[in-house]
Amino acid sequence: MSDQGAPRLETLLNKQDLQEILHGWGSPTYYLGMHKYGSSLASRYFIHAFTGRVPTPAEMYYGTFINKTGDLVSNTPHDLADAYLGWIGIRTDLSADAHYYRAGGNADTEPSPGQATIDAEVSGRVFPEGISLVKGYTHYIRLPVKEHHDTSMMMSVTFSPSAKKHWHGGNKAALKTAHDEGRLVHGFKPTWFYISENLDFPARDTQKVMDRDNQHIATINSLQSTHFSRLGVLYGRFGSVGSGAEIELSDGYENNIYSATLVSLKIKSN
Amino acid sequence: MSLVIHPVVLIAAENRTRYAQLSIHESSRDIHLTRKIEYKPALLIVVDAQNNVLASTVGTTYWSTKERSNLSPSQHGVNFTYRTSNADAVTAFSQTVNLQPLTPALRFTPYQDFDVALRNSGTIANAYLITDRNEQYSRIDIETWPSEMWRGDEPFDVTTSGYKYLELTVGTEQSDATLRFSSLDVDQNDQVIKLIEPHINVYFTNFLRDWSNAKAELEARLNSIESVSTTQSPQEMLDAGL
Repeated sequence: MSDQGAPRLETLLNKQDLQEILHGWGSPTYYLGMHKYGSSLASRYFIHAFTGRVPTPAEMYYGTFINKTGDLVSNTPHDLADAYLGWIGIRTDLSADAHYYRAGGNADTEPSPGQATIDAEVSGRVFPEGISLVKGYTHYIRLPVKEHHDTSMMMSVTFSPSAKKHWHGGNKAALKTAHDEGRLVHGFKPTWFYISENLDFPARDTQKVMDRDNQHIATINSLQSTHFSRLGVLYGRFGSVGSGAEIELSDGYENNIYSATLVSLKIKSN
Repeated sequence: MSLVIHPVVLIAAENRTRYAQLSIHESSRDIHLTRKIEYKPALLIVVDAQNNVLASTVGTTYWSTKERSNLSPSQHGVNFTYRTSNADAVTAFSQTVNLQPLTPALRFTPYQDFDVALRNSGTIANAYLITDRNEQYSRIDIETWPSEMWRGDEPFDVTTSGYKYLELTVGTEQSDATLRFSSLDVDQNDQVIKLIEPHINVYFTNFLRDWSNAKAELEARLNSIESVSTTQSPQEMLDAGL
């Protein structure tokens, strides 16, 4: 057991190394279907959307979400799943449905043919350390570094304005009821998200806090660590266009918990 | 709140079962260069104050998964007591003890059944975990590593060697050091020295963000609930009328 702070980390992992780790996660390689040379997989990112109060960074770090009456609805504290709208995915292969954005590259390296519509453009994996990928298949796409790039982007996604997606799963029916009854405190809209690589909701321990009158006044959810892939890697806010939120929505921010049109997702790593 | 990049990104980026690695795993002979920690051959050396190598062993570094961190409870653990019913009794309260951040550990697993071979006699002053980014040396056989790094014939100063390394705190079993030994004074005639734990776990608690106030912030939010306390026992809460 030990706690070694950042200054001592420098000799093992410096700033450049950390940026490359972040970049390696957020900038996918492209996969264009099954091929005989390998069993590599498409990358997938799941944007899990929530409404209600935005948790604090400390709650995210501990994986412990502490919700009181009024954080979602006016009459009772909520469980994390109560505020869940569902997920929209991004995947880098050909498959797509109403809940996934398909990802492609930018125009000059678009992985057509056979991919007539690409409804998300994701910056591809580049290798600042000068690594060469050995291509086992001609369709393997690797994007060049764009000119004038002096910012290390952990993740850079631009979404098609014509691609509306539906939040899949979630607790929308109950949220609609709460909205109609005037109990929804933070509006009828997505407020925050996390991105993981798993469509499943994380398992959690739940503690209900009561007061002396036996009123339920808070719910404490602690995420279990048994499925690390279900834990959020990035946490951020939703907002309308121009709001400066980590994900801006051109449609689906005001008065809509069912579907959304995403504008962009830009995460810097420096 | 603005963007939060959670430390679990370390696992997501480097673990071989996750998409970042799976998506290129059979396409590149250079895939190992996309990892910094995961599955790297590593050499642990224990030195005295003059950088004489007292003990050395090889193994592998990983980002550990599937468990909450095991950080110092006093610095990072959050304990709280909360009311579960309206009963006018201590039994109306439950306690949650030592809730830890969900941050992964850098884990070093020595190959040799956790015994570290002795190279010289002396008093342990420092220890270094040296990783082989290029994966040219063995995770099993120390003889494949340059002998000046581990054999102890001459002093070895890792800080000027050009290798990637991490200095580890050292101490006895009673200490809270990263590397805990049965004794800090080693006699080469003892042949081996025992590490206390089967793995060496190192946590970087300020990775990507200053998390120094996270414990205090989480406790403040818990204490803002009427019948929750991070400091009081059930009896004290009952006595206080909570």
